[in-house]
Amino acid sequence: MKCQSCGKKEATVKYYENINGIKKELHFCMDCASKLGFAEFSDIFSPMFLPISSYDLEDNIKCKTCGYTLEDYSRTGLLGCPDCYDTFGDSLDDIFYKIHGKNRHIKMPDKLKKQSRSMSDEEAKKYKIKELKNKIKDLIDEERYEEAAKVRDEIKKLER
Amino acid sequence: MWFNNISKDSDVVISSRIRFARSIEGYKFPHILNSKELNNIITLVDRAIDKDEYKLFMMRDIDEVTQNALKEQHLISKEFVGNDNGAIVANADNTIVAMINEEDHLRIQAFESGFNIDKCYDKICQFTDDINEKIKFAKSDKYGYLISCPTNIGSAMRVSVMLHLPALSKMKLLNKLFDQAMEIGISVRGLYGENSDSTGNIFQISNQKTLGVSDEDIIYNVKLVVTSIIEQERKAREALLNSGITLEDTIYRSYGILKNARTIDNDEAIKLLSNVRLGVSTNVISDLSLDKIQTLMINIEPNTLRTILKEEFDEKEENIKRAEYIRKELI
Repeated sequence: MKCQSCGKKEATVKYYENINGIKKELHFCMDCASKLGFAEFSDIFSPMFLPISSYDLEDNIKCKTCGYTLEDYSRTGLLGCPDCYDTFGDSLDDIFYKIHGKNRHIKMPDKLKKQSRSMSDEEAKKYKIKELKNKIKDLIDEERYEEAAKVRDEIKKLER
Repeated sequence: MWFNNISKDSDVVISSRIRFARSIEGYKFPHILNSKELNNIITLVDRAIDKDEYKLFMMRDIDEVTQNALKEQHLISKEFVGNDNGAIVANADNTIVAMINEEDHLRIQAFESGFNIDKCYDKICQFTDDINEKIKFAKSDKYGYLISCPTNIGSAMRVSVMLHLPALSKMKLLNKLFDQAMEIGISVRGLYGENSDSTGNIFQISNQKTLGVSDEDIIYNVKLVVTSIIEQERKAREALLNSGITLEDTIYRSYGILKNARTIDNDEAIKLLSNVRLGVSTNVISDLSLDKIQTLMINIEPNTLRTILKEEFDEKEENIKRAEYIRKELI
């Protein structure tokens, strides 16, 4: 289903409106939902645990990898394996939106952080030595002994 | 250990902690694995850690009292106690402690005393990056780190700061503060994590949301809330001390009971130690150090007390032993 606001992007967010007793279900994409302020709204009032609506359970989809169903999830609060996130993506998107106010993560770096910014000198030194020791192992494996000797001298200097 | 050190803002902040949840790619989540598969997970982690710095302990090799003591020291979760298919990876001073096969394959935690979130983050990233070179974590572009409980996906990171808030609590100002924190997605709980009351006026502040937010933003938000609570607590302490002799009296009475009691249960001891901690951090009491109080508050817990005294005793005897231990430490 396309977003009911922009009509372009895929709708991933459901919004329930209740004006003077007339209930309406609206579907938006994330961008429009944030623009319209619904993201913030849900950010504050979302409960942590939510039952999955019955129509989802009727689908009776099973995860190919672990055999888990949405019923299992609503019973345990846990999923069965990483692939479940693909299998149940559509239902989970709704749930995530309610829990987190969002249903997509930000782009993640491959490495969290290699070198620390607030490490003490002593810790930084230890870290450096560890790195150099690993380097020696690699160099010896590749039979680059002269370079390995240089790295060894460097470690000695640091350890002094 | 996180509790026998004193650092930045220790008058209000007891400790900082960061927890990462990670799943190993290609494996089902722990709660539906059989014991052979669970063992495989442990072997994988064992191969990935640097043995010079970290040691791995099988849970089934740790006796019940010690397991419970680790829980009392907040190093492992209460759900993890008695998990025979689990293991713990820890460094020498327990500033990095990882639970294997808890709710997720890996629950990695970094601890520091005082208000030290950045240091926790550096250490936990270093450990996690290091094992990530040997173990591939399950993650997706859509949802970030894929772990067993969908409420924690995304960054799969929980940043917690443990605070001692006796003055705000005495002035009944906490609820208002906590409501405000909730509004920006920060939760507040009593000492022992979820579903527990606030023994000794100790509270845990942590981020609720993990999806669609960067680690930096989560840390920033927690810092923001904690910084403002620290300021409020200091103001409240000053106000209470300036408003008459009552608080000083409470502090000295508590100190007196602890120094003289012949039998004392855990709850009473924690309550009185909380008052004494307030006394020490406001310089009302000058012959005691914060780290001593900090350590005492942990060491008098039922199981930790047993591991320290290296004795077996029943509950009635426990209260006598506790009183003895406290008297000896406070001389």
